[in-house]
Amino acid sequence: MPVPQIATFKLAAAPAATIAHGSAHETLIVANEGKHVQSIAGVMQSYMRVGGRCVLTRSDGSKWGKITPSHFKLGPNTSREVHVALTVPHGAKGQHDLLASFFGQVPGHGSVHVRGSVGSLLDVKLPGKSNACISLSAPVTHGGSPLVAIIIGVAVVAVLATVGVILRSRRNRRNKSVVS
Amino acid sequence: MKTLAKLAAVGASGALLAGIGAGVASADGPESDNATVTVAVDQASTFALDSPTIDLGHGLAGMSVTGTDGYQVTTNDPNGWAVQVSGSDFVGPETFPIGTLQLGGSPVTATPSTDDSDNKPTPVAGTHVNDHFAMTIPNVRVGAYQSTLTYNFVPG
Repeated sequence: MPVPQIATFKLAAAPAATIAHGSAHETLIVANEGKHVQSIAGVMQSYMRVGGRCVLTRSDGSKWGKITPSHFKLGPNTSREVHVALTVPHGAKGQHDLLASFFGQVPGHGSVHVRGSVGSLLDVKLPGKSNACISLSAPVTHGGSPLVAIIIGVAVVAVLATVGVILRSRRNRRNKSVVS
Repeated sequence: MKTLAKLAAVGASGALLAGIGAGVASADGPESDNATVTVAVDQASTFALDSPTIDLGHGLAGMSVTGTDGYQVTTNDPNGWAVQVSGSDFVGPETFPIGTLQLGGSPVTATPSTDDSDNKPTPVAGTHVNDHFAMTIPNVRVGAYQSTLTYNFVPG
């Protein structure tokens, strides 16, 4: 069993927040648990259902929010806070699954360079039809219009009713094992 | 995992609730007060690559080359996780499409597609996935070619 030691990094979500009026600010913690300095890039992505498939898109995600700082370096066994500011774009409707992703890459030699990311889901619920990948039943703050419920990280745990659509599509082509 | 414990924080969902001091008292003894202790555990996720590069070696056009890489994920999200993978075209003296590279028998795509997933949280020690890559070397000019694979780990 290989011992992962390269490009190991961790994301911890801040406490959940439910915010109305179309904007939210949250704090996440990104930690480098690897043995190498990593250059990390924070990217907002949208997790959308397109043609029956759930795909990550950057072009849509960037409309919704900003990660500050978006680029930083983390030494081994260090962590830092990053801030996510979300703003609902004008005219947006339906439910949206956004992913605050943090990409890390370390130098190496080979024909294929590999980089990995870990993300935290941010769920936005607006009135209207949804093309989100993950169906929400998250609490919505009533009393304003449009109503927006933004649940960061941990709140996602309660609302992933349709994630099975994604999960059942697994190809079983991997050799998966549990590390003991 | 000790690192998860380090990240426990107060105020998030997924709260654990423990009652202590249930107020039991003997008939002739003093009554005790109740105290409730709460703690909330935040979501925490990790992604670790086995290697930042895959070396497919070299060969002549038409030859098959292979390589492996893997990753380990951990998440305490009760709804599970998914990993999506995408790649860029190979660039060198000329370019050829990323779809030339096969992952588990399927072409790697430029748009992220699901590599693996589960509908429950990982064990505390994590879940490790091995990926096996193969390529039939295309008929292109001699030289070194490079591509970048991107793994997206999506908890939940």
